Amino acid sequence: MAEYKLRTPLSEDVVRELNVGDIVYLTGIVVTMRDTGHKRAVELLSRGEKLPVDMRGLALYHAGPVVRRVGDRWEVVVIGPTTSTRMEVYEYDVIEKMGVRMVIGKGGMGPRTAEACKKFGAVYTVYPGGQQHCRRSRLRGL
Amino acid sequence: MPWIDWELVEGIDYAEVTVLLKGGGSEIVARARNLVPAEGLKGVMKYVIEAVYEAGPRPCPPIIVSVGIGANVSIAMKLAAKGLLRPVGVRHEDPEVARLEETLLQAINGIGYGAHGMGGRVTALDVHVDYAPRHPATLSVAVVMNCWAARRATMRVYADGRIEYITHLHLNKEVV
Repeated sequence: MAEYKLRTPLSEDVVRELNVGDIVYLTGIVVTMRDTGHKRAVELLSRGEKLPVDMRGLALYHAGPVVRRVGDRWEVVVIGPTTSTRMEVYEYDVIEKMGVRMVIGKGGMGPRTAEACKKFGAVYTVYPGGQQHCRRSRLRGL
Repeated sequence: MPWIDWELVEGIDYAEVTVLLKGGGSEIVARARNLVPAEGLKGVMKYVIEAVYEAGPRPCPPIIVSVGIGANVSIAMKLAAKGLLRPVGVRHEDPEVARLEETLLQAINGIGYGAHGMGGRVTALDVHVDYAPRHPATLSVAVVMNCWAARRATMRVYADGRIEYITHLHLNKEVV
């Protein structure tokens, strides 16, 4: 088991070096999407439309955010991981077409995602659920 | 509005309100089934262990497993969901059920999923079982799981309007 301190954008080489059981500390831009986000992204891409964010080399976080309105901006209360298997049907396309290099979630994913990770050079990582408060303290901006 | 389930309890003049916050990850693995009654307790145990095994790391282990046994699946599911309110480490008052809880806990921890499926000795923190009388013709079982975070809070509202916080004692000082 090795420890890595990584920064986005992630290169394919860095991601392919990782092994099961390694610990990764990630700094940089993390984009959150869950069920509907995945569905919309895949639908947009299948129609040949552009996404609002270029995800190449970035990390995708299966997150369940709780936010509140403070004045004219949104503040994150907590942002924990959500069960990843629900996104299994979309993740192959997301990794292939959006160039995501790291998927962060919980509970693991299925064979299609594993295949996409192998083929296009991406990795699935687990962030233990229930520690949302620790995570918020490290959040720089929304 | 959240789902509210309520019961009348004889002999008390206060309302005890418990909030249980439950994630989708630990809810999508809940299941219930009508067993063939002849399968008996062995069938129940097999069903519970299979449910946990097939849930894998999805419900955020280490989990709390709650089992309901009753005359139909809705009774069994209600008992199973209610069982999540029982604190970890508290056994059923019936020694036979308590033994069943311990046997199931040992069997489930033998699966070896560990925290978040990363491998380890603790897959479940506890197993709670409850039952209701049934007819020989039916044997329904339900399994509900909760992630280790098990967020819940209880308060009592007394007849004179006074509120007492049972789980979050510091709130008693802040509220006049």
